[in-house]
Amino acid sequence: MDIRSMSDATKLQIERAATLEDAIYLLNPQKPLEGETLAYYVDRGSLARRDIQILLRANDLRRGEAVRILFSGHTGCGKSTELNKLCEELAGSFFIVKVSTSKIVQPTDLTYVDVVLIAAMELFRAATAQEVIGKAPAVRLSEIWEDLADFIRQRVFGHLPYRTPAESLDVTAKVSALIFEFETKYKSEASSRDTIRSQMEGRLSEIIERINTLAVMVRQSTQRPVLFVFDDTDKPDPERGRALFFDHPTTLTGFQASAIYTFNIALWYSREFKTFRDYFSGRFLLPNIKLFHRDEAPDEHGCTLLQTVIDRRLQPDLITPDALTQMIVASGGLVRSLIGLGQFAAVNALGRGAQRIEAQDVARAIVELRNDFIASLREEEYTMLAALRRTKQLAADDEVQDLLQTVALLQYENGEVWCDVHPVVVELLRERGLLA
Amino acid sequence: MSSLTPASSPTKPVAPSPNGYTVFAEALPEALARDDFTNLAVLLRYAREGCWAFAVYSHVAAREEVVAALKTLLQPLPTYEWTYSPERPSPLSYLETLSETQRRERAVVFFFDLERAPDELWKSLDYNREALSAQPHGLVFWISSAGRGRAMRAAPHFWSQRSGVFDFRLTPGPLPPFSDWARSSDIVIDDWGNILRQIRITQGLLDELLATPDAPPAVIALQHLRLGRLCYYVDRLPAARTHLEEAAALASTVADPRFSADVLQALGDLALREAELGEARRRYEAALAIYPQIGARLGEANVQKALGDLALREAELGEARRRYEAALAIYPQIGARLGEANVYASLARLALREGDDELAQAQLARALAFYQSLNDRYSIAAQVANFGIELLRLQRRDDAAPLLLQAAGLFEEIGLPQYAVQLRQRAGAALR
Repeated sequence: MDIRSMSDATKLQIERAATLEDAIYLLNPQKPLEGETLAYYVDRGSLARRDIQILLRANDLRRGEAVRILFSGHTGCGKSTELNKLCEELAGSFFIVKVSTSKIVQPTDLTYVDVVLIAAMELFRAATAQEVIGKAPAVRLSEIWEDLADFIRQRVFGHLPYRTPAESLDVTAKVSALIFEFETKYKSEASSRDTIRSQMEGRLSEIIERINTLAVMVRQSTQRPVLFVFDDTDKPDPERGRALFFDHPTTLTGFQASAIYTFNIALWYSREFKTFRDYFSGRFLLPNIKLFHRDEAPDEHGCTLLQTVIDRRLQPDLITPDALTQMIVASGGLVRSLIGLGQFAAVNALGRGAQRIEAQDVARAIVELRNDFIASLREEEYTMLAALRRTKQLAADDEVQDLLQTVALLQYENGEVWCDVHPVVVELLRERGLLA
Repeated sequence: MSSLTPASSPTKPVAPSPNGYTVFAEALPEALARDDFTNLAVLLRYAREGCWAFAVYSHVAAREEVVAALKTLLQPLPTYEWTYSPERPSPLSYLETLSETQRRERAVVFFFDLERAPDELWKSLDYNREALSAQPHGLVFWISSAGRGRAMRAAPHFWSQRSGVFDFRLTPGPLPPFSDWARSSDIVIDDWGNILRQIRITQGLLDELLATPDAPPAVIALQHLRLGRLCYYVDRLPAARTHLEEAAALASTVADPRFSADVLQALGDLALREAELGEARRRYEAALAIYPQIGARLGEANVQKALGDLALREAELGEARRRYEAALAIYPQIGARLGEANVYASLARLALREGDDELAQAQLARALAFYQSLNDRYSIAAQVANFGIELLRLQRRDDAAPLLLQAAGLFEEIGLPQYAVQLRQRAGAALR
């Protein structure tokens, strides 16, 4: 059950799980698809991914005008996989710099200064790649790298003690060593982090200037514009996310390179978002996959899509059609939920000594999902959900946002935005006599 | 941290079960007989990469039995435990206790007591989920029913990425007979993990007893005393006081004067730690009025030794010596080698006060040899630290610093880095 690349690297031959043991491994709700596992990707026909590509290619690639994009979506909707796929598709045209701020700073402590600084360091490091330095004019290159090394030493570290790179190293290796030293300090020494932050706060324009210089050099060398992809700026809770985005939009959109920021869904519906959103050329929300239309008629396309997600990973004789249908409906259109139900059902089947997933295995996984909702929903929320099931109208109220957060309420989109109650919760509402 | 307390001699022989600390005299097979048990084992064996699951429990005894059975079933897969504590709140800290090789190998880690943690901890799981999924470990988070709803709310992303929820709640019914361990207040002070294990099982049992209408008050009292003593050893002094005062209030329900004396002594130890010397003396003297009457010679010796420490603290060196000698007259007779070692360590500090370095070193060496023979690494670290702290009191900073650093290293080895940090700070301050 390995993934083997064929001579044509773009066409990966993948093997599907043939046993329940393999199914448990392949249906892993913890892991978004990335790298080689993107071979299991199913194109959901996402308008978000298509439109982001159009924006980037039309503006930055053709005209050299950087674009800044917000990308959001609900828990488990497949956002990370979609972003990974987007990066894969853009990698031939853009010089992608992935920035994971949470590897250096906890989201509870993240500030806009950190975002800019960590992005800069990631770019500096990525630009030491041979494809960049091998093609840039030597004299100009030397000037840039000497300047970067000096900048990190004098402006970033300042009076802080740091390990000096060996003199014998060439200047790019010295910069790499200094970046490593920066990351170590910033990650593990709270006092050094505070010092660097306060030193940098008034000098962000100097960092941005260097980002811009390097971005130009990268573009000249590789013929690809720089695209920053911030894959975890949606992690801070709404309060910190608000301070990060709403208080500092000009800084976050200040560099001459395109950027995609993941964005906390809770902020999407806040009042401030209306004025803030204009700082960004594009704002995209990845909707959940619809299993039903707004009039509650089944949506065949959504069901087929989710069926394909499972078909890609499991051989057909590993799950009965009934079991698969049950699983799809119980997922509510959330890809992660589908994968998790599949893994749990495979565990249940293997646990009872079976060779394939049957309806009883899925039913048991659904019971746990149902118990989740029973444990988390408050009494008054059932009444609210019953009302929302009837109206299907979203509102920016905190209560509605809470329900979206627990996925008891799911948001869908087809031209207009609407919502519906999770199918497992619908059953709970019926049992309580709140729905016919 | 004025000084560190060596493990006191247990007042009764302790025989922990091989699986830790059993709560009931008989096993609770209901949890092990469930499909959930098999299914959790299947997941942990076949997930191959990192995964996490939740296990819901209602009884601490069943939880511990399931963990013990899974450890056996999953062999040779290594298994580890992490228990929430305010001292080391981050669940990612389990990685700090693993070697580089252990970090790379598949293993199963059981996480306990997260329902006692603040919401920030759940949020940190949400934020650090990529870091957790990058490990090749199967993580099992034990939670109560109430903890389930809270986890879903506080860590929705983390929750949504779970590989399953396994139910080990038991059908409500009368409590089975208690084990000998549950009917005692004995504790074992050795490494950090084992101290936390005793705290989590005792706290869990206590919570269940308090929620059971007809739970025997005497067993409740015993758990309060045990928790009070355990909290004292991990420097949670306000919690220690709360539990010991509860134990004192329930003392009349335990038809055993030894229990009352044990509570008094524990309150005396706490008062001494908090520098309430008058209160410490009152508590110790009250305990000393009970132990000899019931022939509890070990308890008597422990209090004599404690009164010696109090006298040393008050610089009454003659009184301290008299108390230590009284304790030393008892310990060897009853074969209490740990108590004997503790007195030698105290006599070493007394000799330092008296300016007799040679005797001090000899007494300390004698104490450490005893601890070594008992394989009591905690007491070795604590007594080396106490000796260093005594040197600091005598303004002998250059002599104190190496001992404090040595003790810091010993504490790190047994998984008590918080003590190591404090000792290194004191050593650094001594050298400035």
